[in-house]
Amino acid sequence: MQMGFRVGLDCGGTFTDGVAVDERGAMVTAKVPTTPEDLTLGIMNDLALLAQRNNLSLKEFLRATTLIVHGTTYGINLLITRTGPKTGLIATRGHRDAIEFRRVIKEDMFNWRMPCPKPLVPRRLRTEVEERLGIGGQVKVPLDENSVRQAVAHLKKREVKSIAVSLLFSFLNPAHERRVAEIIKEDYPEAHVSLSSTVLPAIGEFERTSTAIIDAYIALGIEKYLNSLHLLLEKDGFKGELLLMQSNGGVGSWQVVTDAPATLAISGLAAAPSSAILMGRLHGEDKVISMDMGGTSFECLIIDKGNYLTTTESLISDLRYSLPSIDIHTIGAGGGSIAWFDTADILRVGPRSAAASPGPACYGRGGGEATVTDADVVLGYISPDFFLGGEIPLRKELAEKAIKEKVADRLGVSVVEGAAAIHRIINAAMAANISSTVNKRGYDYRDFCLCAGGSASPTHAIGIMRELDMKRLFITKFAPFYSAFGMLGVDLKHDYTRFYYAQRQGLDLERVRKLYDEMEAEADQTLAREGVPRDKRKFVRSMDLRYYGQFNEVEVEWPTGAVTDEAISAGVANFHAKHKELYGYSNEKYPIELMSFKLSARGAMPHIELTKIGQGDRSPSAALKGVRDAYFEDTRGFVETRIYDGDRLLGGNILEGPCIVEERATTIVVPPGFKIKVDEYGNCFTIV
Amino acid sequence: MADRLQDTSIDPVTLSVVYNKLLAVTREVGDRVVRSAQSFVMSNARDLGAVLLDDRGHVATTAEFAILHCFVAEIPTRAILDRFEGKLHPGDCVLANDGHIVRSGHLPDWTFLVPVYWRDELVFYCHFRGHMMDTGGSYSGGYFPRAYDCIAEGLNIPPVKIVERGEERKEIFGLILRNVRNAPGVHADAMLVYGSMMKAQEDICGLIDKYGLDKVRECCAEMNRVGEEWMRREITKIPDGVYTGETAVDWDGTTPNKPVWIRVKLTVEGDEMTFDFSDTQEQVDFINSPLGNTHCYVYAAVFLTLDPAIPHNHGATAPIRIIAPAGTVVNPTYPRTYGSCACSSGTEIAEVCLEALGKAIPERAAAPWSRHLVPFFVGRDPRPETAIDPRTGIAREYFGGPFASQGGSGAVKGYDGWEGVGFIGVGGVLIRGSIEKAELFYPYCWKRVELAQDTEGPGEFTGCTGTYMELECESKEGFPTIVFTGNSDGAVFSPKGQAGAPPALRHQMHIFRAKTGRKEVLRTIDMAFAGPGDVVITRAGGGAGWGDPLEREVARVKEDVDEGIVSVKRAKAVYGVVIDPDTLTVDYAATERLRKRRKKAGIKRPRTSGGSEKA
Repeated sequence: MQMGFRVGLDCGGTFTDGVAVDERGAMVTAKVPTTPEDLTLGIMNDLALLAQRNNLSLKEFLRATTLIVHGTTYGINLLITRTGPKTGLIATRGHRDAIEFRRVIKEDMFNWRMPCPKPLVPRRLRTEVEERLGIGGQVKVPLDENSVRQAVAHLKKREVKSIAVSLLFSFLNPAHERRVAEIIKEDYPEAHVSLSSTVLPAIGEFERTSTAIIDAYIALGIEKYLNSLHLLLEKDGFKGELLLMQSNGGVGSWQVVTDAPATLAISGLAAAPSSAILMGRLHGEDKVISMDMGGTSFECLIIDKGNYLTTTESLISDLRYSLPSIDIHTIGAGGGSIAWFDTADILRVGPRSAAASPGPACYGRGGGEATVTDADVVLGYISPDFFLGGEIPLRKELAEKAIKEKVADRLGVSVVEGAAAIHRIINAAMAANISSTVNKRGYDYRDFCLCAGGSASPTHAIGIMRELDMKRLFITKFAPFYSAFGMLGVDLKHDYTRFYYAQRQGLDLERVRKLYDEMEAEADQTLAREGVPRDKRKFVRSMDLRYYGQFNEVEVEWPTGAVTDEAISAGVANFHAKHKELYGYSNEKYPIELMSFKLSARGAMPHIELTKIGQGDRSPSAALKGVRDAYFEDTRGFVETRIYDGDRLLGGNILEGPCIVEERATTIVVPPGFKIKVDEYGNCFTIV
Repeated sequence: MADRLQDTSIDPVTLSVVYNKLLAVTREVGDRVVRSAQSFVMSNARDLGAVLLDDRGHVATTAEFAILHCFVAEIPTRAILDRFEGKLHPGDCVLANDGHIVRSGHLPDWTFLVPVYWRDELVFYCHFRGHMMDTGGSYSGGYFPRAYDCIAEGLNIPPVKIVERGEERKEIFGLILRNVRNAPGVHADAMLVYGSMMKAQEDICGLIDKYGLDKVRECCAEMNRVGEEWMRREITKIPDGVYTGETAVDWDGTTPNKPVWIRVKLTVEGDEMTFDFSDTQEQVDFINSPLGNTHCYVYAAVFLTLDPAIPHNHGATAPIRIIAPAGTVVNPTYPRTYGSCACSSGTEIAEVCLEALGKAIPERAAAPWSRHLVPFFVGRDPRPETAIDPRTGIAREYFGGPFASQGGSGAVKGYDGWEGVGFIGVGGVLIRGSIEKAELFYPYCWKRVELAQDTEGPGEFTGCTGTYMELECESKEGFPTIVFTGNSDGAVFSPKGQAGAPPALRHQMHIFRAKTGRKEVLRTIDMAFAGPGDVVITRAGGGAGWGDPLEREVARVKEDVDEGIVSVKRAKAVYGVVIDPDTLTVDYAATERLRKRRKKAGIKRPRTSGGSEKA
């Protein structure tokens, strides 16, 4: 094999992005429309374009490709549109409605003029079996197999295609759930089965059941999708590895994740941290906030000490999802966000979006609403002739008309001032989102750098940074391909958890050893299946601790190797430190409770090396392509603004605002008073 | 920056940015406590609230926490300032819970007030109120009736500084802590609350540094103006007139078979309205509602009925007048008890206001929610694995419950109620405890927690379906456990429907006694001892409905029958929908005939609040 291509494929709502890197580190990118009716079409189109840009046929390109990493929205789309197969539930007698009693707060607390979110499994497909375990996992009521057969017959009669089994306390003792699975296999072998004790052996019946149902709901679709994608790739000569982004921010081989479909629920979002971590590493920063602004949504997440945060409290379209997943927060804010007035006559922007169709007014596709992109065109930030490198010509007069009619006239200001208000409000909304996301997790955003990804981010990023008084901003060279690029920097990662409640003094080390023997054996088996040699496997241990009397735990890492009292103590010391960091206090004399033990198994993947661009001096004059007027808040008017060609910038160039950098798929706006510098790889960062 | 300070007109963008930041700061005060608290109800049920008040003691921002902890804030703040105005220094923290002085509500809900300083200027007050693990008194947790007076109900704390200029006042706070159970936990939570409010001060100072004090003040004033104008506009849409509401609490826990009547007269005039409770009966025991608690529940009814997007600040409450004569149930005097008010009579105060508003604007009416039905458990844990509290060396004490028996919300036009979201005082921001976690904490086994068939509040749009719960006591001889129903009401009276909907169902509670094999009635607003093998059985009625049940879309009735929420029999009796019990298919012709006949004859519909239905 001459050229080992590695490919990242990010299948988003509007565009499918691809990034291919050859073994010398040379990178090509491709953006094609997503094909919602059959996602594999868009993927193959993208691969064909990547091949073409490498001057190869698709077959030649795929034959030379050693690795494809893919993030898919397949699972999340099934959940949002509720188009999965008929799914049933088997629960403990008396508890089939646990899934209906949602443990989720209602944020808009006075507005009840909306329907109650319904579980994926309707009540008529939720069955019960006679059995009960206690808080030690002991059998209080033995499993009545007749009741199981009746439940299965009920679901079979109703032609359920997939069954989730979630019994109380099964995370301590899976025997009953496993026996139920055996009986399903005997009586209704056609049905898919997801066991809660396999999907997520953690305490909390609502969370565990909800996650098991998500698993059951997307299992068949995911399996079919991955099989057909792999088949298409194979047919065109692909013999390399196909890896999938998992919700936890790591990758897994397509065969392994097919057996654990719930791990793919937010696959499509999960590569963003990787790009932000890389940017931080290049610039010696380990506290980074990643922001990703696209057409309709804005996502933000936190990198602390060089790692992204994870959560077990995600909500996907009102459904609780409790597998460890990247802690990402999404709001409706993007280039397509629409400006409107609320009942108090206050101007707002988003969350409603003009999306891809009809799109912003300036697209000229019949959209009459004033959007963020329209404002950016009116303000002179986005060139109407160079949007997506000129692929979509924009009509400025339509943008002006929409802003005049929808915003400016009502505010009694000029069109430009109306546009400036839209620009500032959307920046403020994104800044507020960053602030609350970061604060809610116990951090102070002023300790972080900001990293901008997504096509719309570079236009707004400095404004957001200013709103938040943050010290430093990175704008990645590959911002429009943020996720696809990120996928090439991700390791294999599989998470395991075991519940064991104990007080620190009474902790039974033998039991902890046993739990880790189990988890590590399982992890070894999975990584072996993925072809990871023993020396490339890395195990990270963590545990959930709390002060005696508390109800919420803090997860901290503790040393691998022999399970000893010293090792546990090291974890306890980490807990005190982290508690202090999160809540402002700690108390080393306070008694400690341990709630669960966890293992994260990693298989190292070779990471890509960025290629350097040409190096120059301070002056970016070689890249100057012209001037145009752009509006800035500080100058309260249009000023002549230099326009630079992003592809001609050199490492070491310093650009002083006001100026604009035009890249193929994005535009960087530098307001007066700000300076950015180009690093040796073509990324920009603010300097003072 | 300088020109910003001089600029007196507020641009809408700055307004939005500053106001949202203050909202976020307020929210985060509570969020930090939820994540780290030891009080079961604060941490699990979010039984707390944080409010930011301006330097005049007017509510600037509230966040998504229990209604009953938020809209009270101005009354205790005023009372605290009466004692400490001019004497509050940076870093101070005032604690109070005395319902006859700060008039917030019952004793376990402690009020904390911190002055927010920017440089050397007092710019805001941060008000926090939350349900602590204990507050002394005869029994843990405060939900027991028949206390002799307010002194017997628990420790009465007048406004007192527990922290002065950042230093904990150990003598006075020590005296308080010596008189509560679970003192290490109560102390940890109090310090957590203080720390969280001090963090808010830091955030607010950052905001003022950036925008200037004048600008931030102007933004608050402007949002107050917006809140007030918006509320006035909403009130103008209500036809002028006098509307009444009336209901009763089952009893006061002392005098059996004697309901306690709550009555309101709502007068709407132009852009103002007055809720007059003069016809409410004289104060009784235990269920009396201190003034602040009464205000909260009036506002809850208003906010749930009118535009939910109104900024909920001082301005929004300005056009609303509340008359609550001293010495009545809605404004008790010393030394009356008021342990139950946070749930009952608070809920009933909201019900009568919803009823009055519903008569005025039936199209906008919000139907009452399920009344509170949450037996709480108190005792010491006998189980070897969790028994000894390592902080004290004695058996661990438990108090509370996972709210598993709760019903949920009432209907509004167009939408059915939501199951399991709790009672109206927590307004959908409650999080039910997990059964698995509850069993670790309480020596009980929850045998059943499920939707109870035929308990939905009937209507064109139905109130939520109620909950059926069965739990068995697994304590040991010598470790008595007490079941408190002092917070629960609605076994005799149930919430009324709106816009022609009949009332919702009444609650039922029983205890099955292992020793005698008998099933006893467990009354609301009461307490009982339970032993090993005893089974507590509750059946919560649902929220109330909206509109005539005979107008309910047939497809919705059919869906409820398919889901096992409504029986075939009830579909016919209440909704006039004829469904074949074997095939579950709708007989449309028969349905049309039946509905037509019922409507024409105006036949008296079956009583739906009989309280005698079987599960």
